[in-house]
Amino acid sequence: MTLTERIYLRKKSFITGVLLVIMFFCIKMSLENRLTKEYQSLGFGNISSLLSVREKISQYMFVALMGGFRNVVANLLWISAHNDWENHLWFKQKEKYHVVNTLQPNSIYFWDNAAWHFAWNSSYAASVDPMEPKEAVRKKNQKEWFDLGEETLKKGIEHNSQSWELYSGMGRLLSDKQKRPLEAAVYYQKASELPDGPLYLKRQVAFKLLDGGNDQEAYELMKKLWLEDPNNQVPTFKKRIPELEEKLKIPKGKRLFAQ
Amino acid sequence: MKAEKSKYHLLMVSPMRIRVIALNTMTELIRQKVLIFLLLFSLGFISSAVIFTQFTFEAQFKFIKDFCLGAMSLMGMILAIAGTASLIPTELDNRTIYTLLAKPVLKLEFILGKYLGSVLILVMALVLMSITFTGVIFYKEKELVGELRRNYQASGSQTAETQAFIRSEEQRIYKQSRDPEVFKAILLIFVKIILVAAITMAISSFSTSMIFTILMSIVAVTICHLQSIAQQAWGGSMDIVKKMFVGLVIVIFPDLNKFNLADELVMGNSLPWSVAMTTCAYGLVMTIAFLIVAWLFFEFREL
Repeated sequence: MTLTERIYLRKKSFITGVLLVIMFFCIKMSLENRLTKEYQSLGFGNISSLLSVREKISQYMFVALMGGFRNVVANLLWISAHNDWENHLWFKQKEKYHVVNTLQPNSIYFWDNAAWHFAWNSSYAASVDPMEPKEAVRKKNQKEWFDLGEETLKKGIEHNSQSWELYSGMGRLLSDKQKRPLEAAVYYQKASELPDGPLYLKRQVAFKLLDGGNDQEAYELMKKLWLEDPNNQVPTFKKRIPELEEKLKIPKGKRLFAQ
Repeated sequence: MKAEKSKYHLLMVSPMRIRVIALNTMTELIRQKVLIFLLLFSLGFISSAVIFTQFTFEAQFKFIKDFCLGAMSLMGMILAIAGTASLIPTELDNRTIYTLLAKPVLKLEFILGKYLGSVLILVMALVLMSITFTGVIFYKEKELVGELRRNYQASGSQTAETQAFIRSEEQRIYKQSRDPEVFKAILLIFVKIILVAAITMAISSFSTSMIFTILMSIVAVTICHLQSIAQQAWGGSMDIVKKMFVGLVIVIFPDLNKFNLADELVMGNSLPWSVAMTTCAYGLVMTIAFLIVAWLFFEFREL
């Protein structure tokens, strides 16, 4: 093979290689755009949420976040928030939960757990705060934590509309802390209708209606549930139904339990 | 004459020669203590995930999966860079490359053989890490189911309702532990690390030292992870020089965040196979592109 032939073949190889690289990079751009659209439609890989938490985490954590370790960073922050709870550092804990939920908005456990900490633990700490002498202020602070818990669950439900756990958690919070049992009944009702929602949620609806003073509706639901499924024939129903029949003056023939 | 001509003809690439080089490369890499140490370290790292015990079982499984998949991704990338970066510099230092290329072996065959040898090691490493990960998950599953049964036996309640509750709790544990979506996450990690190996090979084809290759590869991988930010910046207002720079980053570097779907899958979200396959195709296209770049640099490099 002559030198000219060699040079010609090398040039040919080079041009072929360069053309192939250009072709592959064009395919790359097309696939990348397609994937970006598909991920957006699936709700995956939201980069904006990563950038929004930059000021709230250390530089190392941010690097790890950008390196694709979003889940590991979220878990570490969650464990750190757990430690803050043990050390009664309520506001630090609040900030960390905010970051954790921003990083993993599809984690039902994180939303539910954060709301529980706010509405039960932080709120209790605020109600017995030794640094605050005025009871009215303590009550106000406590209420703010209840509200934060409620807000957290609302955001969680926005991201996970098919989670019975979050609806049930909201029902519990509204009933036990916010003292709005009729609203709680609505959330329990929704939770019971969702996939995998346990049976007891339907009974909770009846109890919350009863707590809200809606005796007639509560009685009708209890009766319906009792007849519908033997698993609903629980001791509390057995006690409450006759009491309601008496209170609502249900005619003897229409009562569920014979006196 | 025929052999000499074949050195310049792409269609004369021999799969057999590539296979021999790949197998030799794999043997060389297995003999490297650093890689074996890294692999053992990875396995220990993954096994240590059993420490998550103080949370609810959903949290325990979530943490184990997040931790193990994160470790597999990180250690996989480290192994890909460390393993691939040493291939060409070692051949140059030992001067074995001259003996090899004096034979009728194309530089393209050399590059492909070396790369495939590195990929074989990565496959072995990922399989070992996956087995360890599965072992950790099954250990945790057995532990939690056993604990659940012991707790209810201790309570003394043997009613039908209790039995039904135990069964439903067991089902919840199995749902968490036997999640097939995890395999898609592992597949994406594999495509990501072979792409990282191809990027390292491209850098290694023109660099003169292993340290330089490793450092440049780490920088390149970091840029690849920030590519999605560059894409966002592209839409914003900026001067023409910046715009050209950002555009260059978008065109040249692959977006490695496209392979980081482990957290979404661990959350219970489903990734359709069609999307998973498109992601794999994206990774493979970029791998081939970087291997061609590696060959171009190596072909025209004065040895």
